[in-house]
Amino acid sequence: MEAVLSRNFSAPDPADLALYQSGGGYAGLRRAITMSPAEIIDEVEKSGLRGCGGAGFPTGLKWRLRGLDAPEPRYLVCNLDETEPGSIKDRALLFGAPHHIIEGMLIAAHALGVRYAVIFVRGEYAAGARVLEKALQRARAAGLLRLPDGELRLDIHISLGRYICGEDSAILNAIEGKRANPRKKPPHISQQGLWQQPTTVNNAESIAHLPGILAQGADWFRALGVNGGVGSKLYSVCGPARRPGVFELPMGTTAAEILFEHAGGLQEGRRLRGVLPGGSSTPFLLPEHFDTPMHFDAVAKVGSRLGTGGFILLDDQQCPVDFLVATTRFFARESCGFCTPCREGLPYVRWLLERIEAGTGALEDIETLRALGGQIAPNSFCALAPGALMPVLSGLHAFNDDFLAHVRLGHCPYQEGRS
Amino acid sequence: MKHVFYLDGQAVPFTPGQNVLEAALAAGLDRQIPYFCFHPALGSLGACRQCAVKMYPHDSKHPPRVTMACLLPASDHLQLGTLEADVHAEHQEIIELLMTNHPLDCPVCDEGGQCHLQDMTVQTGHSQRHYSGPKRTYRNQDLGPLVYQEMNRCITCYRCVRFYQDAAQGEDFGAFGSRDRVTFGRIEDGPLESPFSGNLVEVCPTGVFTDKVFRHDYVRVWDLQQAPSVCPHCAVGCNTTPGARLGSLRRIRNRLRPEMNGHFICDRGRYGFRYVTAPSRPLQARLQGETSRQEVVLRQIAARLQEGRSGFLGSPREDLRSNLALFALADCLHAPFAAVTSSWAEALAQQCLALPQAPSLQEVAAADRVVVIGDLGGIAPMAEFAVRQAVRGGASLTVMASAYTSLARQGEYRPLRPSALPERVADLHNDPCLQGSRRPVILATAETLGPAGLHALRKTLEKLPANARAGAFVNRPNLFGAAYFAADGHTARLQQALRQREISHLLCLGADPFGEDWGAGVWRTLMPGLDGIAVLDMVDSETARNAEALLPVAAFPERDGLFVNYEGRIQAFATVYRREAQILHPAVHHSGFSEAAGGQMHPLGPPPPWFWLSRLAEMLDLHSAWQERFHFYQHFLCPQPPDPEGPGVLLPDTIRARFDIAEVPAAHPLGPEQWELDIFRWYGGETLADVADDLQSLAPPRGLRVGSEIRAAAATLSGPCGSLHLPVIPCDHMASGVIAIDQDGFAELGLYPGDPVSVEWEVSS
Repeated sequence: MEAVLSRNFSAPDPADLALYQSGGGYAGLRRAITMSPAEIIDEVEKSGLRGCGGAGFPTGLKWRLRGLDAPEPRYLVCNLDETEPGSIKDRALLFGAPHHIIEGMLIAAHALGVRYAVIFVRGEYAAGARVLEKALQRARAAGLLRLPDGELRLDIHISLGRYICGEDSAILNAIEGKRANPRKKPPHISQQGLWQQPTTVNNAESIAHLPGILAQGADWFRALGVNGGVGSKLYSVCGPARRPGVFELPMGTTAAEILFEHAGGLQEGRRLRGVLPGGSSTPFLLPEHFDTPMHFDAVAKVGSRLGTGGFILLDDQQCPVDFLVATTRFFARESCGFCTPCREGLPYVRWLLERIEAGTGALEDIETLRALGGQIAPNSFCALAPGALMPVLSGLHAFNDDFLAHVRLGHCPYQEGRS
Repeated sequence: MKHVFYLDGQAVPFTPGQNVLEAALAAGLDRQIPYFCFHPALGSLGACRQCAVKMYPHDSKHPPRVTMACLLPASDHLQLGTLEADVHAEHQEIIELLMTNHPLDCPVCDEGGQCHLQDMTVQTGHSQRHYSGPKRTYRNQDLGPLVYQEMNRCITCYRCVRFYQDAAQGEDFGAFGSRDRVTFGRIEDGPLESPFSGNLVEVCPTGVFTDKVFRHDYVRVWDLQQAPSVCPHCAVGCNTTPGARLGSLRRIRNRLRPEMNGHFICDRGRYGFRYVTAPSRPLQARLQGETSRQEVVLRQIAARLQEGRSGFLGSPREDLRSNLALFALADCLHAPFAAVTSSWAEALAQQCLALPQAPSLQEVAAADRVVVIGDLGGIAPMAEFAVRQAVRGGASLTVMASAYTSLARQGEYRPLRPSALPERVADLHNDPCLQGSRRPVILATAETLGPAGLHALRKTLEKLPANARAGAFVNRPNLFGAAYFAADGHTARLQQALRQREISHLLCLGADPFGEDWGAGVWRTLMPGLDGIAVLDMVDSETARNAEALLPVAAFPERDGLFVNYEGRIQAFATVYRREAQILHPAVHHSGFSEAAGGQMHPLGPPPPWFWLSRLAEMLDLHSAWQERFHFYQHFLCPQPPDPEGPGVLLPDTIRARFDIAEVPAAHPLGPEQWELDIFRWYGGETLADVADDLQSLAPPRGLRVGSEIRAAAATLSGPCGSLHLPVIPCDHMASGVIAIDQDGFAELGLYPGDPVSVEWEVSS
């Protein structure tokens, strides 16, 4: 497959405008401004592009549902607050494909009738934001921000931090300078979002796909996918693989191919026990499902989620309980503290996991963990806590023996022989 | 059409726009759905996840689902259940999660017995906690003298911050931190700055914020004697519930009155009550400054009255019935009577009463355009609170004042001298700030606007659309009641009689003509002509300290009575408790009752004023005449006294119309001096509240407030009755040429707001 998003990843200066344009850059925008917003939305809908932030909601449909006649001013936000452990694809785009993002924002802004847009960048990606800023300055100097309805004001907003800022209503509070708590819905942000105006929030990868779709057409994009997937996808692999990294592959590539071909399989002497396929808020995908095409529907069918396509590997030298302690510590720490189940429940889950890992847990603790899963996830205000519990609950099921061994032995079996 | 949904099979009425929880609570169904973050005045948030109900869809395609009642819009024929096992389990599980960090220090917690968390925990049936890990702990902040913080008890419902930041628009309190370490407080220790900070105590569903003043004198809340009362600290007349125990007043809480103060009261109303327990409060009768037997003091006053050379002075600080009792006695004796201490105040009272029906606070909060004249927050904080609610609802706000108040920051500020206000007000109907308004409201601080300005306001209202409303505020609970008696020229006649030696004795009820009341400067010059002053009061005023005879009277929660608020709403307050007198000497602990009537059995506290007046009438052999007049006037003013539990009754327009004919007061011309006076008030300042020590520890320093462009350390002001030396306090954005001083300063100088004043500046070396 040709490199679409990743074609300049290894260039000395990916913010170089001439380099980007020599590869067909800003052709999509040129075509888009000859089209009406409705035509662009049709094209995007036809392409089958789905939100790459993790939920997989069809991008074209999201735009259509906001309504072409939404009251003005309307706003557009690019969500580049990539804080999901195990996900590094947006970072790769930020450093390696800044013009893809800017061109995508211009296309989206034209399609949505937006005059003010924000690219919200994770605070820890400040160095990447500087690359984006450089690209933006060049695009602005070249007059590319001048859309048919006037110049787009495009701001880069560096997040002050926290995972919750990536939630699509919390991100708006963050931009407004308020506490980044999620907002209650209704009203949906497409009706009352940023400063109570109609707002569209799209993931950076979704945005970066737009130039290609507009330049080469929906059919070209659809044909990039395999095994029932459409388009290309930035998959990433973290953990004890031989070649961890970010790979642009056809959407629908099987997990096995990604893991064993592109990431080169596991390091010497290690056996893979399972992966979190889409960042740490997805359920475990086990080896018996590694032949699953990694697109939204196929992964959902086997009980996991494609999420961000960021694989985290769990091999046989890593204690699954300890692995889950790590993910749960992260989510308990990143809870915004707004709703009770998440704020009070995740630290409870963390405490139980830590007890079990330390060997002081009891069998009831495992039951309590399962019960908490049933209490926290359905009653939470946003998707943070349900996501946090996905690895825990699927891990409890997949690695039940390991949990029981901790309780039975009174210590972590993986600690044996280690000092 | 009547709208209903069904909760556990029971029909619940609702109005469209309500959510399920709101409607269920309004229907009195507070046992089915537990909740924390929802508050009737703050709305729903969806944070606590406690108010789960099971929703049964109309069709059979969708399965029933558990959802939050506070986020579920009520709709017709919605079927909801709370008795299902999964709903019940959810209720218990959320409580259990909250309890993982709640300290369960109920036995030593001030909130115990009035704790929403306690109630909800018992209601949901949660009793066994499984978590045995460590609890998070916090360092508590010192939030000043009024509110005590115990952060460990927090269940993170965000009610406090929604009240303080959103509703009260306070700027020094917020939510900090995240995850299970969210805290609510100030950036650093220090007194809360909002005039409404005490409401944190009531909105907090558990013991994070408790009443620090109540804490000094704590008693379990179920042991409190409570009764419906009305706040005596300004003209709004917020409904309150005082709580007392063993003959002493312990605290004040809000009493829900939707059309008025709603769920909240200001800090003056909550903490000003300490005048009742102030060490300076007169509790014993005094003669020539010495504690004396009540009967001796009464006889002395009766003897003075018998001489037929007495004048009578009522007060807008006293309730309607007591003023009436005084008026009736004056009437019996054909003695001069005045309800206020100066002609200026008389005109002010008349002009206030002559205004057409003022809007209720609920109507103010629903206004779409608001014009505020003067520092409303320094006079009537809850009226300012209502304006803030209107602003939150999208109303435009224009503040015409000499000082840049915190309210002015919420709207358009027009710095104006008091003397310029009447002219501006007269032209309000042409002002762009009211153009196109559907529900305009104009609220004025009566003293700053002055009689001429109030008259102009009345005339302007005639030119504005019929839906335009206006109200005028003072920091007296009963100016409108006193205004009944403020017939033209009464005060001038009383002063004239004194000047011409027709009278040589003054009986003052709650009035302080030689202290801080308007016109005190003039009264002080008349003092030498007096043989004696008799005072009936509950605070040790300047006049009381100079009185020949003093009879202490019951504080407002110690008796019943009537106040007429700024709307002309006659409200009754009930006796909450009887104060026990301090037993100083066997000779003085008489009860108020005569020995023949079986008194003297128990040492009771001071009686209500009308009791003393009735005794005096008795001693003068005028009792039946006095009683007859008293009942006649009471019947005329208020044929049926309202129920203290109810919303009160509004004055009929016919009574207001009487004041329509009052003389049009002339505005003060600005003299050759370029400076003019305005009054400086702060939210905690008012005669009674001024002796509430906890509240007063927050009082701003005394001084002369002037625009910060003036570089001077101090200044001497001179007026017709005296001069005043004060340090200069520079203030940003003050109207030029204005000097603001407190009411005591006006008394010293013998001047009124808007008067010119000559100044000598002292430039700092």
